[in-house]
Amino acid sequence: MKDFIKTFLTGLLVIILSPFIVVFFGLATVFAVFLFFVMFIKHIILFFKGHNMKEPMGIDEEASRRLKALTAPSNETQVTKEAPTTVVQPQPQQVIIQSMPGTVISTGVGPNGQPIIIANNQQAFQNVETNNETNPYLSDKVEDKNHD
Amino acid sequence: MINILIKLSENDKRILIALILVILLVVIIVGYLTKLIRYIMRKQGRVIDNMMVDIVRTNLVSNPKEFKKVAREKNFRHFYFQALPPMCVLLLLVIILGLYQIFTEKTNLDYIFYYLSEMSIELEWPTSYFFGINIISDWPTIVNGPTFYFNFDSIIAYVSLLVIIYFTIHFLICVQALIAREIRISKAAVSVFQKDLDALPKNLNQNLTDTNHN
Repeated sequence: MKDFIKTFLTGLLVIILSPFIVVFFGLATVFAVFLFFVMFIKHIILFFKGHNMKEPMGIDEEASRRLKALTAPSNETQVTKEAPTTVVQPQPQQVIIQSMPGTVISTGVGPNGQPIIIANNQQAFQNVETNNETNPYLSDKVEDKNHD
Repeated sequence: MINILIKLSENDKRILIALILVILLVVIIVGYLTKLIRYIMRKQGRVIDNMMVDIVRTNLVSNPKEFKKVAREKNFRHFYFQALPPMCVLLLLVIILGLYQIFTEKTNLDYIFYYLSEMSIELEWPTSYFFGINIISDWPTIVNGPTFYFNFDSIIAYVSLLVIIYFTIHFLICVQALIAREIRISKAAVSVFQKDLDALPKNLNQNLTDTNHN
């Protein structure tokens, strides 16, 4: 209802002001015709000077040049951000070795990435076995190596 | 006022109600048309935003005066290229009519006005006497229908009329767009360079103090 009353009042105002609106539009039309001929002459002059009015103005070229300069560094950073993702190599599994007194242990990583521990003597084997009771996979490997 | 209404006959009251309803309807239609024109002009004015956004973003204009100068030049150029086709066609029509006048040795354009007047419809509006004035009270009756002729002069007159109407409306729409863009320039020149304290970050003072301490 509020919107309807607003529309009604706008209509009333436009009807009251319509003579002024018509006069204003008429003057604008006369100005536009005059402007058209001025621009037409300007177009001809610029044409003979070797310019084209359809081409962007000098300020537009300067704006596009500055915009390019602004956007260029951001592209570079994007490339450097993306580069590491393409050269990432799979890291081998990290094995933490807790050294034991009186034993020599050599360690390595298997073809599937599983840890391998080789002991030089029985004492070391026993130590390793007792230390890795919770990891049966590790204990089996140690045993196999000792039998060899 | 009440005495006047009491003195009115039933027929007068009916005419009065119909008249008020017609006036209300006209006002409402004008209101909605104004809304539509305002929406179209707002859309036409947005062209300036596309033209000026890069220039403002790169700080090539730093005050409303420079903004208006550049935007106005762009507005005039846009108008020129928009109005070029209708103006060219209208100028072409004037040249063709001029050549036709020369070849047929006619000294005036009376033949065009004659065929156009023959094409018009004459209506008779029934009126009623109400409050001392004659007011239209019914649908009109056709007294004279349109008459069409098919000779070279009449065809020239009809084609000229159609071309003039179409391209004049086109040119007036261009003028309307010119005004719409001009209004947008005046508004944008103020709003773009307006400084707003509320837009500042809340911790600006704290940041400045920290910078000074460091």
